[in-house]
Amino acid sequence: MTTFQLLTVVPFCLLAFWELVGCLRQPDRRATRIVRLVTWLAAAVAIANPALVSWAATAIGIDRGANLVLYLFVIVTMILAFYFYARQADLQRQITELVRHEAVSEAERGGTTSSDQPAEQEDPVEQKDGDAP
Amino acid sequence: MASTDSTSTSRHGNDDVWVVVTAYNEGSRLELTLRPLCKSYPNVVVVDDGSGDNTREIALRHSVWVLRHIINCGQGAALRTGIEFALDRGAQIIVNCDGDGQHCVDEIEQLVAPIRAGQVEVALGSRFLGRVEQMPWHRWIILKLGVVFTRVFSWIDVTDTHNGFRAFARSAAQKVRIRQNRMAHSSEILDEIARQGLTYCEVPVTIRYTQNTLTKGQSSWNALRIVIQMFLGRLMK
Repeated sequence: MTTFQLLTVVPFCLLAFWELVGCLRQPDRRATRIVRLVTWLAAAVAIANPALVSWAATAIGIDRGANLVLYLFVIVTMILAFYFYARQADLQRQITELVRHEAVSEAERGGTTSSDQPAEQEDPVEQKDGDAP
Repeated sequence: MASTDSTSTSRHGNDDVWVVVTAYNEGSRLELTLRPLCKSYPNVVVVDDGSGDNTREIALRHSVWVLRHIINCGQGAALRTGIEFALDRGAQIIVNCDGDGQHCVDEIEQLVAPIRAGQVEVALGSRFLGRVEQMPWHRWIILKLGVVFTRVFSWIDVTDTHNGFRAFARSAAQKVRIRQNRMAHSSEILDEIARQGLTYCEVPVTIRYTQNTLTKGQSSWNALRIVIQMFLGRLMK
């Protein structure tokens, strides 16, 4: 085993062990932890045994193991980019709702200038002060 | 006194109309919009979209409702805030108007006329049916491309796709859901009109471009960003 393999496989195995422990302790988030556990284990196995990746690549019609890793990387990156964009958009929507709620609850009625309207003008909106925030 | 009486009558006649003015850093231009607006319309809502200048203070000098977004959320978000506020207070017709003085508030009357007559639920202002003052040629091209784009992707036949001067009947305002915070909301509104099967018409309006509004306004290159936002927005729905 090379130095690089040692430096990467051991942390990946530790991460996998960490996920396994978490999986047993917190059953409510088991699915997410299992996905991560499988990811760490796959990474550790792929690094420890590159021939396995080459075999998998050949099996699905890709010439080299490195190409398989590259394709998977690109696909996963695109999925993650979309996922995070969706999360960001959702978060922005929630912030906007919060800002909107604040704006409506703090609504202010402007004063009357001489150029706007006659002073005795009764504003129908003002009669609704009861429901105005 | 005659002018006061006519103003009063005019304002009373427009009790059913709520005008939503969106403004972002419009302190120097808002007065131009609000002064004539408040003479004719008793129900005006100014949505200050997190301005860093004195937009809110200028708005508060007039007899209008002022809603302030504590952060800048975008014109689409501001518009929705104003529309929801107006609907809560019983608005029968809601007019959208920019706070930079580009729109001619005298034309609101003709904008809402088809809605009052019960002919349509949405009236869209069109600068290409009306008049445009000092529009740069590249803006003209971008807007025309927008028209073609909208016809292809939204299946709605309009002559001006990004005109913020429009009016909704109450029923239409309740149905149209604006989810795009930024500039893509104009395309989204057209999408919604087509999707909900709302009746609409275009009304000739005047748009005044000035060096001031062009400097502050969105760049023509933003059209590309709007297209991307629109497509991503559709994916997110």
